[in-house]
Amino acid sequence: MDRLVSRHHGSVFRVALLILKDEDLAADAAQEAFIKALRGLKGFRGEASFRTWLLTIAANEARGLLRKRGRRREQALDATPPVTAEERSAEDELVRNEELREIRDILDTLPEKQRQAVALRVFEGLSFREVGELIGSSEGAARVNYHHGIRRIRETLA
Amino acid sequence: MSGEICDRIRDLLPAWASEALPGEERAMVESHLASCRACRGEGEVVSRLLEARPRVPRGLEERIQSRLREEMVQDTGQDSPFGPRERGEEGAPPAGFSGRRPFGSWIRSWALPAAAVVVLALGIGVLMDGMDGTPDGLGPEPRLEPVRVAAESPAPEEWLWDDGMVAGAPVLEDLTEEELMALIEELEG
Repeated sequence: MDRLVSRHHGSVFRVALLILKDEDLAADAAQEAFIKALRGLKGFRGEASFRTWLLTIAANEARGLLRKRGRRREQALDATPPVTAEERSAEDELVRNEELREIRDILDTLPEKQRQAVALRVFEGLSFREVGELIGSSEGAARVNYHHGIRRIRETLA
Repeated sequence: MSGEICDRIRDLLPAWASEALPGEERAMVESHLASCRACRGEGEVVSRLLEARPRVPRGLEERIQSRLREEMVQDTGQDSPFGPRERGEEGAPPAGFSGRRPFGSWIRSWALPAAAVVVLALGIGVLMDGMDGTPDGLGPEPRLEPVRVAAESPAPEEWLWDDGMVAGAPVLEDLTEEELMALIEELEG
């Protein structure tokens, strides 16, 4: 189980964060998702990959938490401060953080499905089918949302 | 034709940016990016997005692992979800019916025999009703105690009502095994 947590906790956390936009809540949701996965392990039938199954639990957990907390307003994604392993000068770090903040801000301005499709595809490397399963759309719609999202980001950055 | 190639390359860009592409495909993508400005631009966007991927809070992994270990110990008395789950299998006493009782840990060992006794008791009760001299089982006064032979069950007075109704389900025999176990859990809870 430790290996599963080690391998998937980042994705589980980010999927929850994508929905909740709050780091503390996302951490809670990630923890709860693993507990529910553990309890439901016997129900996992291998129809989806274990990762997709786990991420679906995380997404559902996050949506449940969102409903419970009534947090429907957009919050800045920069509640998650980037922590880089690389050593950079303080100035470089500031510039870099500014760039990262800019692209996160742009990502945040996308319509919800586009934002989620881009994040799930780029951050988690999910297939369009898996993205569709998580955001509740078809594979084709997930692809369209992803490409529209990327195009918008490019246009904004240009 | 060029559009189809670009579409295919763009689908691969997230995997390319995260260095997850096998060598041959990676070479194909990079060769295309070298000659296609539009796809190169998209590749840069995807790479920047990947860099902006939210970082996981420090300590989260340990926090989850610690919580899961607690959960596993509470539920099974051991720390692997893949090992034997019933205490009885390890020679220890069964989990019993008090305290925190995960459904799976005791229901399999107690529910089926208990359910069988209930069904048997009810069946015998009905049979005896039919042996009291009235062919249709109806005597001058209604018999309200089919539980008298249910003394074999672990706690008969809690299992059967005097009208043969169990938690609103009039015919035990019609319940599926799953319904029966859910019912038993409800009664025990």
